Amino acid sequence: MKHIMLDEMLRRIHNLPSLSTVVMELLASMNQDDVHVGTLAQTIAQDQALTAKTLRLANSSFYGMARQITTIQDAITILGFRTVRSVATTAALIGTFAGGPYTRFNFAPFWRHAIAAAVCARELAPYLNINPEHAYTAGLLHDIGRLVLVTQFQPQYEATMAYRAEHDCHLLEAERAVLGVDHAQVGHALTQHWKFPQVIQQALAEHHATSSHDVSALTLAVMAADAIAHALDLSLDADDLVAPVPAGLWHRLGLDETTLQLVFENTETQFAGASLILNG
Amino acid sequence: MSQQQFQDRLQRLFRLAGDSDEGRYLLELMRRYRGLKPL
Repeated sequence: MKHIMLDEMLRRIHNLPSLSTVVMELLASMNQDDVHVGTLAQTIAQDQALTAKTLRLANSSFYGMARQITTIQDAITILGFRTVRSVATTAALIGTFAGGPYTRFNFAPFWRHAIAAAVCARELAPYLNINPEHAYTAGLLHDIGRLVLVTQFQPQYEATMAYRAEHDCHLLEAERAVLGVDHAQVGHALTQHWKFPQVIQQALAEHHATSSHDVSALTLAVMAADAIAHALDLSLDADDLVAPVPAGLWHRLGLDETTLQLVFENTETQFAGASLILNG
Repeated sequence: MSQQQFQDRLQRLFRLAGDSDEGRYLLELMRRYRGLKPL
């Protein structure tokens, strides 16, 4: 099968629907420390489906609220600003790639792994002195290039999955062999197109680098979160695999075993709540 | 999940990553996290 040409990939990326205004505003607000509760509530309220989904999650048994939460403003007051913003951003990004005739690709394990990596990266953020919401977003989107390949190059991606099954290799290796590009490169191009912060673009581009020595702290968080999320087996994908772990990762992370075990535990706990977003 | 099932699942998850020092370290951490005996 012919490799995907870079200009063709860029053309398809440019033809993708733009991120909705609501997602853009939610993402932009992550760089601002002084966003008003009312402003966030107004942003979410622009999208009825997103509002309904956020409220459904806020009312789920995971949060154990004694009374019904009926407005986004209430949800923010009770659950906290960051939780509601993460929930809304996740729901909005998932919605961006929802649907379509991609019957051979199972979106649920993809998003389960993405959410697991997001909450794990956010857990690691304080130890690395990075913005927790950048860590969450980069973790959530680290494999987003795969969705571009699945939705824009469907026959080629089916050939990639067949190659992986035949050679029992990691998907990244199959992508490079069959397509001539990998999801890290595509994810980088997509977030460049979406004008994401440079540090997030870079984390997506480098999360499968063979070494962690020269990468940014955010990339380090995504590399570790990716490996930990796979190892915790949260995607529920029978074919899931831990990808080759970048050299020097644990040394550069500099966390002792007790701290890492705490990160595993908190990741599983946070994931239980965050992944409810996938239930309808 | 039983201890044996955790053990089998971890072996499968790490079958391509368990050859490097970094992969082995994570596997060992996961084994302890799941309460499995060290290798």
